[in-house]
Amino acid sequence: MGNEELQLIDRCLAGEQAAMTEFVERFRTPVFGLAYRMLGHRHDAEDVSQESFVRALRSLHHWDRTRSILPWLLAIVGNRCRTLLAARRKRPMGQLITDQLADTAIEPQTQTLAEEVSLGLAGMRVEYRQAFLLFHEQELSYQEIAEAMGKPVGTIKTWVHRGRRELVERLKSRGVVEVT
Amino acid sequence: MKCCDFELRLQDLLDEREQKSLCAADLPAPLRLHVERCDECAEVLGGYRALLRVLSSARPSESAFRAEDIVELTKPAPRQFRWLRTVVPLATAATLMIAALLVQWIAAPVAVEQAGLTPSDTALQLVATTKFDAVLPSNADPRFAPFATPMEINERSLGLMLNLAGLGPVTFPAELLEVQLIEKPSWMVQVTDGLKPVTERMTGTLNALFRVLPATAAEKDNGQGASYDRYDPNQRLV
Repeated sequence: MGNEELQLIDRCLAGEQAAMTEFVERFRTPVFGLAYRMLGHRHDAEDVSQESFVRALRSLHHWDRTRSILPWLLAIVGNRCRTLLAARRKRPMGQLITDQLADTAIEPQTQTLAEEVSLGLAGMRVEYRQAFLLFHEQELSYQEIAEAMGKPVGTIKTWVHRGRRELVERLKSRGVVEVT
Repeated sequence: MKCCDFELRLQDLLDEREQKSLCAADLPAPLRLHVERCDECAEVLGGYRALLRVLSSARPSESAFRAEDIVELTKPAPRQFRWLRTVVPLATAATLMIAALLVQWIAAPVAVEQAGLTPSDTALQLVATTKFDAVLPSNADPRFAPFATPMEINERSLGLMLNLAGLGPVTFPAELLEVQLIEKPSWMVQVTDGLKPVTERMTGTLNALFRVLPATAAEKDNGQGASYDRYDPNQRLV
Protein backbone atom coordinates (compact mmCIF):
# COMPACT_ATOMS: atom_id res chain seq x y z
CA MET A 1 0.00 0.00 0.00
CA GLY A 2 1.29 3.45 -0.96
CA ASN A 3 2.77 5.83 1.61
CA GLU A 4 0.58 8.58 0.30
CA GLU A 5 -2.55 6.59 0.99
CA LEU A 6 -1.39 5.73 4.49
CA GLN A 7 -0.78 9.40 5.21
CA LEU A 8 -4.23 10.27 3.89
CA ILE A 9 -5.82 7.69 6.16
CA ASP A 10 -3.85 8.92 9.14
CA ARG A 11 -5.13 12.42 8.49
CA CYS A 12 -8.68 11.07 8.29
CA LEU A 13 -8.18 9.30 11.60
CA ALA A 14 -6.98 12.57 13.08
CA GLY A 15 -10.34 14.06 12.13
CA GLU A 16 -9.18 16.30 9.33
CA GLN A 17 -12.23 17.18 7.22
CA ALA A 18 -10.25 17.97 4.10
CA ALA A 19 -8.59 14.54 4.29
CA MET A 20 -11.96 12.83 4.52
CA THR A 21 -13.20 14.72 1.49
CA GLU A 22 -10.08 13.69 -0.38
CA PHE A 23 -10.64 10.08 0.73
CA VAL A 24 -14.15 10.09 -0.73
CA GLU A 25 -13.04 11.66 -3.98
CA ARG A 26 -10.16 9.21 -4.36
CA PHE A 27 -12.32 6.13 -4.03
CA ARG A 28 -15.56 7.49 -5.45
CA THR A 29 -15.24 5.78 -8.85
CA PRO A 30 -14.59 2.20 -7.73
CA VAL A 31 -17.16 2.43 -4.94
CA PHE A 32 -19.91 3.82 -7.11
CA GLY A 33 -18.93 1.58 -10.03
CA LEU A 34 -19.30 -1.57 -7.99
CA ALA A 35 -22.55 -0.42 -6.37
CA TYR A 36 -24.00 0.55 -9.73
CA ARG A 37 -23.17 -2.75 -11.38
CA MET A 38 -24.37 -4.72 -8.39
CA LEU A 39 -27.68 -2.92 -8.04
CA GLY A 40 -28.43 -1.78 -11.58
CA HIS A 41 -30.01 1.44 -10.35
CA ARG A 42 -28.34 4.82 -10.08
CA HIS A 43 -30.15 6.21 -7.05
CA ASP A 44 -29.76 3.01 -5.08
CA ALA A 45 -26.10 2.93 -6.04
CA GLU A 46 -25.59 6.51 -4.84
CA ASP A 47 -27.35 5.79 -1.55
CA VAL A 48 -25.28 2.68 -0.99
CA SER A 49 -22.09 4.51 -1.94
CA GLN A 50 -22.74 7.30 0.54
CA GLU A 51 -23.69 4.86 3.26
CA SER A 52 -20.56 2.83 2.59
CA PHE A 53 -18.31 5.88 2.81
CA VAL A 54 -19.89 6.99 6.07
CA ARG A 55 -19.42 3.53 7.55
CA ALA A 56 -15.87 3.33 6.29
CA LEU A 57 -14.89 6.72 7.70
CA ARG A 58 -16.46 5.91 11.05
CA SER A 59 -14.74 2.55 11.33
CA LEU A 60 -11.43 3.46 9.73
CA HIS A 61 -9.68 2.65 13.01
CA HIS A 62 -10.71 -1.00 12.51
CA TRP A 63 -8.91 -1.29 9.19
CA ASP A 64 -5.78 -3.45 9.16
CA ARG A 65 -2.91 -1.20 8.10
CA THR A 66 -0.95 -4.13 6.69
CA ARG A 67 -3.56 -4.61 3.98
CA SER A 68 -4.78 -2.54 1.09
CA ILE A 69 -7.63 -0.15 1.79
CA LEU A 70 -9.57 -0.69 -1.44
CA PRO A 71 -10.60 -4.33 -0.86
CA TRP A 72 -11.71 -3.39 2.65
CA LEU A 73 -13.75 -0.50 1.32
CA LEU A 74 -15.26 -2.58 -1.48
CA ALA A 75 -16.16 -5.27 1.05
CA ILE A 76 -18.32 -2.71 2.82
CA VAL A 77 -19.92 -1.74 -0.47
CA GLY A 78 -20.55 -5.39 -1.37
CA ASN A 79 -22.18 -6.06 1.97
CA ARG A 80 -24.44 -3.01 1.67
CA CYS A 81 -25.41 -4.03 -1.85
CA ARG A 82 -26.25 -7.57 -0.78
CA THR A 83 -28.34 -6.24 2.09
CA LEU A 84 -30.25 -3.97 -0.24
CA LEU A 85 -30.74 -6.71 -2.82
CA ALA A 86 -32.09 -9.02 -0.17
CA ALA A 87 -34.56 -6.42 1.06
CA ARG A 88 -35.57 -5.00 -2.29
CA ARG A 89 -38.99 -5.67 -3.72
CA LYS A 90 -38.98 -7.17 -7.22
CA ARG A 91 -38.56 -4.57 -9.87
CA PRO A 92 -39.06 -5.08 -13.55
CA MET A 93 -35.67 -6.06 -14.86
CA GLY A 94 -36.28 -4.01 -17.97
CA GLN A 95 -36.43 -0.82 -15.94
CA LEU A 96 -33.24 -1.64 -14.11
CA ILE A 97 -31.38 -2.29 -17.32
CA THR A 98 -32.74 0.90 -18.89
CA ASP A 99 -31.50 2.85 -15.88
CA GLN A 100 -28.09 1.36 -16.28
CA LEU A 101 -27.76 1.64 -20.02
CA ALA A 102 -29.03 5.21 -20.14
CA ASP A 103 -25.99 6.30 -18.20
CA THR A 104 -23.32 4.24 -19.87
CA ALA A 105 -21.20 5.77 -22.56
CA ILE A 106 -20.95 2.96 -25.07
CA GLU A 107 -21.04 2.71 -28.81
CA PRO A 108 -24.39 1.92 -30.41
CA GLN A 109 -23.17 -1.33 -31.99
CA THR A 110 -22.23 -2.72 -28.60
CA GLN A 111 -25.51 -1.65 -27.02
CA THR A 112 -27.03 -5.07 -27.55
CA LEU A 113 -24.00 -6.81 -26.14
CA ALA A 114 -23.92 -4.53 -23.11
CA GLU A 115 -27.62 -5.06 -22.60
CA GLU A 116 -27.19 -8.80 -22.67
CA VAL A 117 -24.24 -8.67 -20.28
CA SER A 118 -26.21 -6.44 -17.92
CA LEU A 119 -29.18 -8.79 -18.04
CA GLY A 120 -26.86 -11.69 -17.47
CA LEU A 121 -25.29 -9.98 -14.46
CA ALA A 122 -28.68 -9.12 -13.02
CA GLY A 123 -29.77 -12.73 -13.24
CA MET A 124 -26.57 -14.11 -11.78
CA ARG A 125 -26.10 -15.23 -8.21
CA VAL A 126 -25.11 -12.24 -6.09
CA GLU A 127 -21.82 -13.82 -4.99
CA TYR A 128 -20.83 -14.62 -8.58
CA ARG A 129 -21.76 -11.11 -9.66
CA GLN A 130 -19.77 -9.43 -6.93
CA ALA A 131 -16.69 -11.61 -7.48
CA PHE A 132 -16.89 -11.10 -11.24
CA LEU A 133 -17.21 -7.32 -10.96
CA LEU A 134 -14.43 -7.03 -8.40
CA PHE A 135 -12.14 -8.97 -10.72
CA HIS A 136 -13.00 -7.50 -14.10
CA GLU A 137 -14.14 -3.96 -13.30
CA GLN A 138 -12.31 -3.16 -10.08
CA GLU A 139 -9.31 -5.22 -11.21
CA LEU A 140 -8.61 -6.64 -7.79
CA SER A 141 -6.53 -9.78 -7.46
CA TYR A 142 -8.05 -13.04 -6.34
CA GLN A 143 -6.35 -12.63 -2.97
CA GLU A 144 -7.82 -9.16 -2.50
CA ILE A 145 -11.28 -10.32 -3.54
CA ALA A 146 -11.01 -13.23 -1.11
CA GLU A 147 -10.22 -10.77 1.71
CA ALA A 148 -13.04 -8.47 0.68
CA MET A 149 -15.63 -11.23 0.54
CA GLY A 150 -14.29 -13.29 3.39
CA LYS A 151 -13.98 -16.46 1.32
CA PRO A 152 -11.05 -18.69 0.25
CA VAL A 153 -9.20 -17.84 -2.94
CA GLY A 154 -10.30 -21.10 -4.54
CA THR A 155 -13.95 -20.27 -3.96
CA ILE A 156 -13.53 -16.82 -5.47
CA LYS A 157 -11.80 -18.26 -8.51
CA THR A 158 -14.65 -20.72 -8.99
CA TRP A 159 -17.22 -17.94 -8.68
CA VAL A 160 -15.46 -15.74 -11.24
CA HIS A 161 -15.12 -18.63 -13.69
CA ARG A 162 -18.75 -19.58 -13.29
CA GLY A 163 -19.80 -15.98 -13.72
CA ARG A 164 -17.86 -15.75 -16.97
CA ARG A 165 -19.25 -19.03 -18.20
CA GLU A 166 -22.82 -18.00 -17.46
CA LEU A 167 -22.41 -14.75 -19.33
CA VAL A 168 -20.78 -16.43 -22.30
CA GLU A 169 -23.53 -19.03 -22.44
CA ARG A 170 -26.07 -16.25 -22.40
CA LEU A 171 -24.33 -14.40 -25.21
CA LYS A 172 -24.15 -17.59 -27.25
CA SER A 173 -27.80 -18.39 -26.70
CA ARG A 174 -28.83 -14.85 -27.66
CA GLY A 175 -26.82 -15.01 -30.84
CA VAL A 176 -24.65 -11.96 -30.18
CA VAL A 177 -21.37 -13.81 -30.20
CA GLU A 178 -18.61 -12.68 -32.51
CA VAL A 179 -17.60 -15.18 -35.08
CA THR A 180 -13.84 -15.76 -35.16
CA MET B 1 -6.17 -30.46 -27.01
CA LYS B 2 -9.65 -31.40 -25.80
CA CYS B 3 -12.54 -28.95 -25.80
CA CYS B 4 -12.84 -28.98 -21.98
CA ASP B 5 -9.16 -28.14 -21.70
CA PHE B 6 -9.59 -25.33 -24.20
CA GLU B 7 -12.08 -23.45 -22.03
CA LEU B 8 -9.99 -24.04 -18.90
CA ARG B 9 -6.99 -22.54 -20.65
CA LEU B 10 -9.09 -19.58 -21.77
CA GLN B 11 -10.14 -19.00 -18.18
CA ASP B 12 -6.50 -19.10 -17.09
CA LEU B 13 -5.61 -16.53 -19.74
CA LEU B 14 -8.33 -14.24 -18.50
CA ASP B 15 -7.11 -14.72 -14.92
CA GLU B 16 -3.64 -13.59 -15.95
CA ARG B 17 -5.15 -10.40 -17.41
CA GLU B 18 -2.60 -10.31 -20.18
CA GLN B 19 -5.16 -10.77 -22.89
CA LYS B 20 -7.30 -7.71 -23.47
CA SER B 21 -9.11 -8.86 -26.57
CA LEU B 22 -8.37 -12.58 -27.06
CA CYS B 23 -7.38 -12.00 -30.65
CA ALA B 24 -6.50 -15.21 -32.49
CA ALA B 25 -3.05 -13.91 -33.20
CA ASP B 26 -2.35 -13.36 -29.51
CA LEU B 27 -3.49 -16.80 -28.41
CA PRO B 28 -0.95 -19.48 -27.52
CA ALA B 29 -0.37 -21.87 -30.39
CA PRO B 30 -2.23 -24.89 -28.96
CA LEU B 31 -5.35 -22.81 -28.43
CA ARG B 32 -5.11 -21.18 -31.83
CA LEU B 33 -4.73 -24.52 -33.57
CA HIS B 34 -7.66 -26.03 -31.66
CA VAL B 35 -9.94 -23.12 -32.52
CA GLU B 36 -9.11 -23.50 -36.20
CA ARG B 37 -10.32 -27.09 -36.09
CA CYS B 38 -13.24 -26.89 -33.61
CA ASP B 39 -16.28 -24.74 -34.48
CA GLU B 40 -17.81 -25.16 -31.07
CA CYS B 41 -14.74 -23.85 -29.28
CA ALA B 42 -14.49 -21.09 -31.84
CA GLU B 43 -17.95 -20.01 -30.73
CA VAL B 44 -16.89 -20.19 -27.09
CA LEU B 45 -13.88 -18.02 -27.88
CA GLY B 46 -16.21 -15.57 -29.61
CA GLY B 47 -18.33 -15.41 -26.49
CA TYR B 48 -15.37 -14.61 -24.25
CA ARG B 49 -14.12 -12.06 -26.72
CA ALA B 50 -17.50 -10.30 -26.78
CA LEU B 51 -17.59 -10.29 -23.02
CA LEU B 52 -14.18 -8.66 -22.80
CA ARG B 53 -15.22 -6.07 -25.34
CA VAL B 54 -18.24 -5.05 -23.28
CA LEU B 55 -16.25 -4.92 -20.07
CA SER B 56 -13.55 -2.76 -21.58
CA SER B 57 -15.88 -0.31 -23.31
CA ALA B 58 -18.70 0.37 -20.87
CA ARG B 59 -18.07 2.72 -17.95
CA PRO B 60 -20.80 4.25 -15.78
CA SER B 61 -20.91 8.01 -15.60
CA GLU B 62 -19.83 9.80 -12.45
CA SER B 63 -21.95 9.74 -9.33
CA ALA B 64 -23.72 12.87 -8.20
CA PHE B 65 -23.28 12.75 -4.44
CA ARG B 66 -21.06 15.32 -2.77
CA ALA B 67 -18.07 14.31 -0.68
CA GLU B 68 -18.77 17.21 1.68
CA ASP B 69 -22.21 15.78 2.50
CA ILE B 70 -20.68 12.46 3.41
CA VAL B 71 -18.07 14.06 5.62
CA GLU B 72 -20.82 16.05 7.32
CA LEU B 73 -22.64 12.81 8.16
CA THR B 74 -19.57 11.38 9.86
CA LYS B 75 -19.36 14.24 12.34
CA PRO B 76 -20.18 13.38 15.95
CA ALA B 77 -23.34 14.66 17.66
CA PRO B 78 -23.39 18.31 18.84
CA ARG B 79 -21.30 18.78 21.99
CA GLN B 80 -24.00 20.42 24.06
CA PHE B 81 -26.10 17.27 24.10
CA ARG B 82 -23.34 14.70 24.43
CA TRP B 83 -23.57 14.73 28.19
CA LEU B 84 -27.08 13.31 27.85
CA ARG B 85 -25.65 10.05 26.56
CA THR B 86 -24.02 9.48 29.93
CA VAL B 87 -26.54 11.07 32.24
CA VAL B 88 -29.74 9.51 30.88
CA PRO B 89 -28.69 5.86 31.34
CA LEU B 90 -27.32 6.61 34.80
CA ALA B 91 -30.51 8.41 35.81
CA THR B 92 -32.61 5.52 34.49
CA ALA B 93 -30.53 2.99 36.40
CA ALA B 94 -30.73 5.06 39.58
CA THR B 95 -34.50 5.42 39.26
CA LEU B 96 -34.94 1.70 38.78
CA MET B 97 -32.72 0.97 41.75
CA ILE B 98 -34.65 3.35 44.00
CA ALA B 99 -37.93 1.85 42.84
CA ALA B 100 -36.66 -1.67 43.57
CA LEU B 101 -35.53 -0.63 47.04
CA LEU B 102 -38.89 0.99 47.73
CA VAL B 103 -40.79 -2.12 46.70
CA GLN B 104 -38.53 -4.26 48.81
CA TRP B 105 -38.96 -1.99 51.80
CA ILE B 106 -42.71 -1.95 51.46
CA ALA B 107 -42.90 -5.70 51.01
CA ALA B 108 -40.41 -6.51 53.75
CA PRO B 109 -41.91 -8.15 56.80
CA VAL B 110 -42.02 -5.90 59.81
CA ALA B 111 -40.00 -7.25 62.66
CA VAL B 112 -42.22 -8.57 65.35
CA GLU B 113 -40.06 -6.87 67.92
CA GLN B 114 -40.43 -3.50 66.19
CA ALA B 115 -44.18 -3.79 66.05
CA GLY B 116 -44.25 -4.94 69.63
CA LEU B 117 -46.33 -7.97 68.68
CA THR B 118 -45.90 -11.68 69.05
CA PRO B 119 -47.91 -14.29 67.20
CA SER B 120 -50.95 -15.04 69.24
CA ASP B 121 -52.26 -18.49 69.98
CA THR B 122 -55.13 -17.71 67.67
CA ALA B 123 -52.74 -16.97 64.84
CA LEU B 124 -50.88 -20.19 65.41
CA GLN B 125 -54.17 -22.07 65.54
CA LEU B 126 -55.12 -20.41 62.26
CA VAL B 127 -51.97 -21.70 60.63
CA ALA B 128 -52.60 -25.17 61.96
CA THR B 129 -56.10 -25.25 60.53
CA THR B 130 -55.64 -23.44 57.22
CA LYS B 131 -57.76 -25.05 54.58
CA PHE B 132 -56.52 -26.10 51.21
CA ASP B 133 -58.93 -27.25 48.58
CA ALA B 134 -57.37 -30.12 46.70
CA VAL B 135 -58.60 -32.82 44.36
CA LEU B 136 -56.48 -35.85 44.93
CA PRO B 137 -56.27 -38.74 42.45
CA SER B 138 -56.48 -42.24 43.83
CA ASN B 139 -53.30 -43.65 42.36
CA ALA B 140 -51.02 -41.75 44.66
CA ASP B 141 -47.66 -42.99 45.71
CA PRO B 142 -47.61 -43.17 49.49
CA ARG B 143 -43.95 -42.32 49.53
CA PHE B 144 -44.79 -38.81 48.41
CA ALA B 145 -47.27 -37.69 51.05
CA PRO B 146 -48.02 -34.01 50.74
CA PHE B 147 -47.87 -31.97 53.86
CA ALA B 148 -47.50 -28.39 54.80
CA THR B 149 -45.06 -27.45 57.48
CA PRO B 150 -44.95 -23.92 58.77
CA MET B 151 -41.33 -22.98 58.35
CA GLU B 152 -41.51 -19.45 59.53
CA ILE B 153 -44.13 -17.15 60.79
CA ASN B 154 -44.62 -13.53 61.35
CA GLU B 155 -47.75 -11.49 61.21
CA ARG B 156 -47.66 -11.28 57.45
CA SER B 157 -46.21 -14.33 55.85
CA LEU B 158 -45.81 -18.02 56.19
CA GLY B 159 -43.28 -20.28 54.57
CA LEU B 160 -44.77 -23.55 53.43
CA MET B 161 -42.84 -26.62 52.51
CA LEU B 162 -44.83 -28.97 50.35
CA ASN B 163 -43.78 -32.44 49.41
CA LEU B 164 -45.22 -32.75 45.92
CA ALA B 165 -45.50 -35.98 44.05
CA GLY B 166 -42.59 -36.40 41.72
CA LEU B 167 -41.04 -33.08 42.66
CA GLY B 168 -39.95 -33.59 46.22
CA PRO B 169 -39.97 -30.84 48.86
CA VAL B 170 -40.75 -27.42 47.49
CA THR B 171 -40.97 -24.23 49.55
CA PHE B 172 -43.59 -21.60 48.82
CA PRO B 173 -44.19 -18.27 50.53
CA ALA B 174 -47.84 -17.76 51.42
CA GLU B 175 -49.46 -14.63 52.68
CA LEU B 176 -51.90 -14.94 55.52
CA LEU B 177 -55.17 -13.44 54.40
CA GLU B 178 -56.84 -13.23 57.74
CA VAL B 179 -54.58 -10.72 59.35
CA GLN B 180 -57.23 -9.10 61.44
CA LEU B 181 -56.44 -11.56 64.24
CA ILE B 182 -53.09 -9.93 64.72
CA GLU B 183 -52.78 -6.37 65.78
CA LYS B 184 -51.03 -4.20 63.28
CA PRO B 185 -50.42 -0.57 62.69
CA SER B 186 -53.00 0.87 60.35
CA TRP B 187 -50.43 1.73 57.73
CA MET B 188 -49.40 -1.89 57.61
CA VAL B 189 -52.98 -2.95 57.07
CA GLN B 190 -53.17 -0.55 54.18
CA VAL B 191 -50.05 -2.00 52.66
CA THR B 192 -51.29 -5.53 53.18
CA ASP B 193 -54.57 -4.66 51.53
CA GLY B 194 -52.65 -3.26 48.65
CA LEU B 195 -50.80 -6.54 48.29
CA LYS B 196 -53.96 -8.61 48.46
CA PRO B 197 -54.24 -9.24 44.73
CA VAL B 198 -50.75 -10.71 44.84
CA THR B 199 -51.42 -12.85 47.88
CA GLU B 200 -54.73 -14.07 46.55
CA ARG B 201 -53.12 -15.07 43.34
CA MET B 202 -50.42 -16.94 45.20
CA THR B 203 -52.98 -18.79 47.28
CA GLY B 204 -54.90 -19.64 44.16
CA THR B 205 -51.75 -21.02 42.62
CA LEU B 206 -51.05 -23.13 45.67
CA ASN B 207 -54.56 -24.49 45.57
CA ALA B 208 -54.22 -25.31 41.91
CA LEU B 209 -51.06 -27.19 42.69
CA PHE B 210 -52.80 -29.17 45.37
CA ARG B 211 -55.43 -30.18 42.88
CA VAL B 212 -52.96 -32.38 41.15
CA LEU B 213 -51.76 -34.03 44.31
CA PRO B 214 -52.73 -37.61 45.13
CA ALA B 215 -55.86 -38.14 47.22
CA THR B 216 -56.05 -39.53 50.70
CA ALA B 217 -57.83 -42.82 51.26
CA ALA B 218 -60.47 -41.28 53.51
CA GLU B 219 -61.40 -38.66 50.99
CA LYS B 220 -61.55 -41.20 48.24
CA ASP B 221 -63.81 -43.42 50.34
CA ASN B 222 -66.06 -40.50 51.09
CA GLY B 223 -66.32 -39.80 47.44
CA GLN B 224 -65.54 -36.20 48.17
CA GLY B 225 -62.74 -35.61 45.83
CA ALA B 226 -59.72 -34.47 47.69
CA SER B 227 -59.74 -31.68 50.19
CA TYR B 228 -58.20 -30.96 53.53
CA ASP B 229 -60.70 -30.24 56.19
CA ARG B 230 -57.96 -30.20 58.68
CA TYR B 231 -54.29 -29.86 58.14
CA ASP B 232 -52.66 -33.06 59.30
CA PRO B 233 -48.98 -33.63 58.56
CA ASN B 234 -49.36 -37.27 59.40
CA GLN B 235 -51.85 -37.97 56.68
CA ARG B 236 -50.79 -40.73 54.44
CA LEU B 237 -51.86 -41.65 50.99
CA VAL B 238 -53.29 -44.80 49.58
